[in-house]
Amino acid sequence: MTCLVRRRRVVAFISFGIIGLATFAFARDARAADESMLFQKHERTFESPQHFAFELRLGPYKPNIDGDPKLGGKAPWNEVFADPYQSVFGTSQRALVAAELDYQFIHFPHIGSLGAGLSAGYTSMSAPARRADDHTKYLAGETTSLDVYPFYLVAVFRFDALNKDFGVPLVPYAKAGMGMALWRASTDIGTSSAAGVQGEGHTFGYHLAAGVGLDLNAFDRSAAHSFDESMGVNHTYVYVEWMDMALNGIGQTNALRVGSSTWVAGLALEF
Amino acid sequence: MRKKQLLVALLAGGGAMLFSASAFAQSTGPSAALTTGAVVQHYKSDGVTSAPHPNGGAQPSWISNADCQQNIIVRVPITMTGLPTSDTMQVWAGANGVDCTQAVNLSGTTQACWQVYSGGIAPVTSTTVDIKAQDIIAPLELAIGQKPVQYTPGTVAACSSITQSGPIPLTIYFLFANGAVGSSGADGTAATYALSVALIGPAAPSGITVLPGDTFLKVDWTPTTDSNTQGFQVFCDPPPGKEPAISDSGVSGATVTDSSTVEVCNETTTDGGFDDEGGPLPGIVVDGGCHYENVSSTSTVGGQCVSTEIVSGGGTVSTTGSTDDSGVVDTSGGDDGGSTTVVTGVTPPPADIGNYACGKNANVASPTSTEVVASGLKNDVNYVIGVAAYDVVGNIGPMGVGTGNDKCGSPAKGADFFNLYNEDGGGAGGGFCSLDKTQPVGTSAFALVGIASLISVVRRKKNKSKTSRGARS
Repeated sequence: MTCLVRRRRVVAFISFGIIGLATFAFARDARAADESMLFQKHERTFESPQHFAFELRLGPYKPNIDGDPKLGGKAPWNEVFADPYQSVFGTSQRALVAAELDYQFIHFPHIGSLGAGLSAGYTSMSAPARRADDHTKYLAGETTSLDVYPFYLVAVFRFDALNKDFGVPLVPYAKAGMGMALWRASTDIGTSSAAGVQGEGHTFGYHLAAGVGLDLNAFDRSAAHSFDESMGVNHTYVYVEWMDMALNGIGQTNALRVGSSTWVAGLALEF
Repeated sequence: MRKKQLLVALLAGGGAMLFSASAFAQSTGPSAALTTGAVVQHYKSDGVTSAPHPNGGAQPSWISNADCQQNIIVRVPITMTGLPTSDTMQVWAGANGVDCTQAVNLSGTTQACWQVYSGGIAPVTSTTVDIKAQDIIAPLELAIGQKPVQYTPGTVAACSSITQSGPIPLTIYFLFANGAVGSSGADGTAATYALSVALIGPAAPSGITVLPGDTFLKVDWTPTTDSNTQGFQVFCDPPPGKEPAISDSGVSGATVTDSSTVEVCNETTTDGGFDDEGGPLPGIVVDGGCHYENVSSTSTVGGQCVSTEIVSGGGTVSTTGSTDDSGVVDTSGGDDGGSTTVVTGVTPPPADIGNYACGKNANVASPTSTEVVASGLKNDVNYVIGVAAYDVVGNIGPMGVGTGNDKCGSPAKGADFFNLYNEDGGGAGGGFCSLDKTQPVGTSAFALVGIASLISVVRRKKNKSKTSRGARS
């Protein structure tokens, strides 16, 4: 039964993450209008069980394809996707959008939580293709694109003693694990191919990340407690994170190095 | 006095009744009836093969340009009951709003209807009447009073007689009359069948541009505002499958458009001044940004950017054939279409539509579409591109073409990101599920171990909590 309730919560929070934020703001206004002593006493004592965290993130993403030693210093990604035309006209996308769900299976009192996290993301970039006989000329009607779907599975440690024991609303955290990305190179008429090889595949690697979350509960505790009571959300964070998605092809002879080291920012909910 | 007035009125009324009887023939009894069958079908001229319109048979009662060219048959079932044996049935046509049961519209200077079937049909219980499309259309554009007095067979010229885009509604009248054909009036018993004639496609799109790709051309345009537009068709010259050899050097001295684009970066060098010893310093390069430019060259590869078929005045026009891309007049009239009428601003005849349809995906069935990727073309061939709109029954409208370099496009072998990566020594790829043959275990095992670890941790945690709950209880 408890498991069923938790599952429902997971689904609810994935679906209503944004609505929850709106509720958070709305509850703040509602609280100011009618605060009784009884309510204040209640809000100090109530806290729902906490087992999950959900993160939404956005950040710039430049795959480290040209860092492959097999390319001998050549830079096909840079040549295609990072030329001045692209930067001037901005026809390509460089942003990573991702979501992560953590299961916090151990809570260390006065230290923090340890959990496992699974993430899925997406990024895409496109540019005009070149003429095969002269790479300085464009084929303006043909677009070459690279789509990347990064995934990772990590252990997550959140050091929340500062927030819970000392009232400092900052929660540093670290993640480590392994990553994998699916990728696909394409043109207007379908998946690319070269020398009989399809332009799609997967790349394995490792994943490291460190960041800090700012607990928004500190700015309106009664609204935060209302959010907890109504939706079961214990904490709401905005966070920044540095992540090293080193998708270098562990265990692979040939791999497209679609990983990246980058800063991301986002919103996280613990529930 | 009153009696006198009444008598005059009666006499006048009787005279009028007598006049009507003589003008419109004898009246039939109340049980007489003439009806058209519910199923009216259009057949090709053989009278056997049905003539469906494109787009799943939309608007089956319309007569399109192709129908007119083929002189299709409109077959109407007729049922007659209680009609005098001395009468005959005549078949007339009239534009929308014209009542062909009225004698005033059947003859003289006010004649607005015209006969579309030869002779009269004697009363029978049921029959079918085959009416030819060209017979319906031929007098359509003639002015009132200029319509033919008697049935006159139409010709294929009728298909070019209309300049109006969109459907023209008509009504076919099946009239029972007594008297000479073409001069007598109806006797009050009539059946009708409504149809529309649409011979001209929608207006040409504008702002056409052609961008090259690898074995395809991306053609963009500004859609026409013609409400009859159902979609767009792209045309190529040379026709796909009939391209000249790449060695074709085109007409001697002709300028050939290389429609590729180059990146042009504006850099200016300013005076660097002088050093302390009076020597000149190197100039300072100022980055002025980069942009694309179409390029033209005198390359002869792929043929010239002219077309007698798609662009009017684009070369030597021959009424018996056309000029091929090497400048030789094809007098056979059939090599690459053999037509000179698929030109700008002119509706292409149906026979040329198939010839010049521009490779795969050249047809987009959306009135608001602005782009199509015409694929399946030959690299390094210079295609002249035209775009025309078509309506719900497949009428192709006048051709539109781009201006200047946008008139032509030359697909070229492309190098996309993956090609460049591969050329530079990269070896990845092969599919999402491809395994590395040198280390077949590594790739798959890596992911499986990760997933298994997570499942294990979760299960252990669950088991622990179950055990602790059990112990407490």
